Amino acid sequence: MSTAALRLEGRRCYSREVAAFVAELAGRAGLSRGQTYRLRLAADELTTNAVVHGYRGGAGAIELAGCVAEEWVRLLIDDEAAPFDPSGHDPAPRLAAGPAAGPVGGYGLLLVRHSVDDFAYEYVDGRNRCTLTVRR
Amino acid sequence: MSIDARITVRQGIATVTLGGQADAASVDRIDRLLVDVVEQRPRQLVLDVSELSYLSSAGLRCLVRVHQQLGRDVEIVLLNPSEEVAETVRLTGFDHSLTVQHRRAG
Repeated sequence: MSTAALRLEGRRCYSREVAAFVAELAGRAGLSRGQTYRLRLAADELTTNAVVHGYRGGAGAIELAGCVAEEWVRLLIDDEAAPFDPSGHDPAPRLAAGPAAGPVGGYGLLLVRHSVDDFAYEYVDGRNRCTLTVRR
Repeated sequence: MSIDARITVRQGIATVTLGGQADAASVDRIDRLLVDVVEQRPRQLVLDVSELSYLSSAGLRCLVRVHQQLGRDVEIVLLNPSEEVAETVRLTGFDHSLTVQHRRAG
């Protein structure tokens, strides 16, 4: 098993740093192009959510930890914003409204759920922790 | 690589070419471009995403916003999306609001 970690601290979105971290992790795990894209998408959505909604544009730390095992790749995303369980998000009302009506956003967590084989959340030691798992 | 965004308007058809990565880091640029599109009041909007390698919900939000601003009477064509970009559009139901076309050069 091999691991990697990245700590991001500031008040901006980290899409590019997250993309580079996921690309390295996925490359080490031998994930397909599609699996790599989807893991990046899920990680991007969760980290952007933490910056925009969790820290509300203020400064705050986000930590990524990647782990490659024989049968799976796991990416842990931690932040220290107020507790928020994205796994409990129900996309049905936004989907029912359709894109022509309502808020222009609200799709990020839906994409997270569809992008990985398993998605788990826990609040531990004052931190939100999202765990993304992709089968190799 | 960030976003490469261009707009051309001809005979009421606005073509927006998006290349690169449409994510939270590039939404300001995309939004500015799409404001220009709305001001042109086109009868059709072609979103040429042949060279768009990545679309997150932040990028998608820009497209949904321009759809809402133009109204349902303006047809939106999504041209040459990659498999992954098309999947994102489909999952969010946005595919019901536009026409997906695949045209390859040559």
